Amino acid sequence: MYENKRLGFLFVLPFVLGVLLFKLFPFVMSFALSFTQYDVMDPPVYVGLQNYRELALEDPLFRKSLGVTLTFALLAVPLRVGFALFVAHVLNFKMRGIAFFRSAFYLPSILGGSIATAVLWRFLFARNGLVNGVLGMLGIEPVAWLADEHYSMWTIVLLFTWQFGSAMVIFLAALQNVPEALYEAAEIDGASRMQQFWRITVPLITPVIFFNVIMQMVHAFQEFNAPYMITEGGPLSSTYVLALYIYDQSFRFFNFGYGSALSWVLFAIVAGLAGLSFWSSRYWVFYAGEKETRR
Amino acid sequence: MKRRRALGVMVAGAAALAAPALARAAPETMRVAWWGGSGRHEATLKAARLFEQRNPGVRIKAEYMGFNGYLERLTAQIAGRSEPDVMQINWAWLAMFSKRGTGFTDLDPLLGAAVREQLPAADIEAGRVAGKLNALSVSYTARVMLWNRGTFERLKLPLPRNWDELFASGPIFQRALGEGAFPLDGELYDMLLLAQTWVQQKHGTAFIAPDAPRVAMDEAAALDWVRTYQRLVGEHVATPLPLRASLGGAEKPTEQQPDWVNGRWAGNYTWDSVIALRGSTLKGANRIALGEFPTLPEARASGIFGRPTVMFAVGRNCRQPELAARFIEFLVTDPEAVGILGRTRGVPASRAALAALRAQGKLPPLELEAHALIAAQRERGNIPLPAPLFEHPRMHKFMREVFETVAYGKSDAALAARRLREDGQALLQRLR
Repeated sequence: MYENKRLGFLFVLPFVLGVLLFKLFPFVMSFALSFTQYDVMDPPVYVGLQNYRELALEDPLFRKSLGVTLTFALLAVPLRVGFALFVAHVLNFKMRGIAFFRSAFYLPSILGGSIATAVLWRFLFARNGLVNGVLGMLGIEPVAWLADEHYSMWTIVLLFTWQFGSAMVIFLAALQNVPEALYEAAEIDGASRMQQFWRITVPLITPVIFFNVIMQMVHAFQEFNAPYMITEGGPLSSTYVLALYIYDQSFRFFNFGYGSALSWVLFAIVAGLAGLSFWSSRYWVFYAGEKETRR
Repeated sequence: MKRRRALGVMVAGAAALAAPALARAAPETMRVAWWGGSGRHEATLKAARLFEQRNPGVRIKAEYMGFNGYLERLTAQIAGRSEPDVMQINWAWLAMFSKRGTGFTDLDPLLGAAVREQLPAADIEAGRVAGKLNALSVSYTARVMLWNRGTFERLKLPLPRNWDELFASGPIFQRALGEGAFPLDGELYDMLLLAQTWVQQKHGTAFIAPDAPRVAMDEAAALDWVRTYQRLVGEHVATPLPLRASLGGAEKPTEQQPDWVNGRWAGNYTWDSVIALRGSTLKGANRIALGEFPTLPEARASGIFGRPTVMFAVGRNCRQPELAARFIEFLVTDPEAVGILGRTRGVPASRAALAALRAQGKLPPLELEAHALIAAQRERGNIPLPAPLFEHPRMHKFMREVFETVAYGKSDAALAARRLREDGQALLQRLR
């Protein structure tokens, strides 16, 4: 028994070391650095709360990027989760070649926010690109998607939404666990497809919806690739998300202390919103066997 | 027990005997990092192999990549004290990594006489911070005017020789070739540099003082800076920022723009080191030409913006600084190495290297012409080194932000000029 335990510890040791070295250590270090001024070349100088005070009171770019990040999350998370649920629902139908469609819809998530995707996106949304070409055929004037501050956000929201594959797979698994008998009973009672979806499917998969919302929210607040590669944070900082600002402050402006303070503010916001979501979940998330447990 | 001890003694003895031999056999590894394109990579690798052949027992571990991400990687390595022994850096990075001259190894006591004989003193001095030679300049570059001669010939227009002709060409392009045609293309940074040139010629001062971290432009000069930019765009001379951004990225290089390739955008204000690159996508009647530098009558300064192209530095944690310095010297002065490297890092600063390349016919006429033009201006003392903080990424972002608001009509000239002076000064105080 003891031998097995030792062997078990040995197996998990690489993971534990990895977490300690590459997660916990930077986590603690960044917190310590957030109270310093650190430009890489000289040792960090303790400055107390100055970084936090500066970003709260004197940094318009922080306020701008925070607003951009919140707007992005507000638009992108419901769109990705909603679209993933919609596609998963369609792919849950029994039809010929469904395995192919499931793989095909997952493909964008494998491509992710790569350089190739950024080039593709720039081509699609350029003034003389494919999207404007299609709009032109419909008699609509070309839109400066990448150069107009009112539209640039939508290009990166669309790229985020396009990578809905992982959320879709989780939804698909949840949909397949909804008992068939419930739909049969509802059909006998005369419920329409729409009623079945809203009254049976959605309530039964609320734990998975909740999980996906939390995960996608975290991803949205960490979004970096699309604005970095497609719009470079512009125009007029309209896509300058907080992750981009943290990167700039730390690795381009050599302000690691300030960059760390920004990271901790981002962490606090995500943690706060996650906490709020968990608190609200008691009103709209239903777990199987919940009532029995409570009794 | 006795046998085990005896065996241990034998193993230890053998190890002690073998250690010096092993140490002799183990190659001395030196890490060398640079950014660039495939031509630069191939040439530098070949030169590194030559250095290895000439120095048995030395192994060079090359770490090369494109420019994107290079600075970030270097920053992380420097922060972790694991930077390469020899690294290619930008001149402006000296102000970030070595504010007091201690960020890199001092090359003064390490470099031989060959370097001092072959490199112009001004080029060597460009790498000095607080009295310490932090980096060695490989080549020098300055901004030049490039034109598509074919387009100007089709329009029966002479290449612009001064500001008046430059400003007059905008409406002609508009009338003859349409709304989307411009005599000049460039990123926002190119345009604000060109506008700064006009201000320097009129007011005699650049945005930041070269000798101290302070805004040198007074209110009138700053206002002229913004207005000259507005004039360049407003009079249809330069491609507007929103147009460039809408075509797939505001910082997309000129030679990749379809309108440059087909000759509707017919000029570029850029570094002389990229002449070949800009000309690489022009075909047929469209061909690149070097223009005269526009100068105001009675200009108070030339306004030409020049600085070292790239430099080589030795990390401050390098354990074999002599070897690292020898390698840099080899790259800059050795005739064979110079021949291999060609102009992959611009026209070389070393006199011997320049002569060798010229004799080998490895310098195209246009590059030579630009080099001669710049050299003549430098000899007359017309291209002072700019303030290093002018090219600091934070300052770059700040200037871009201000001019972007002007380009999008979100800010008038007076407000932008005030921001440049007041916020610029505050930023400089933080960066110094």
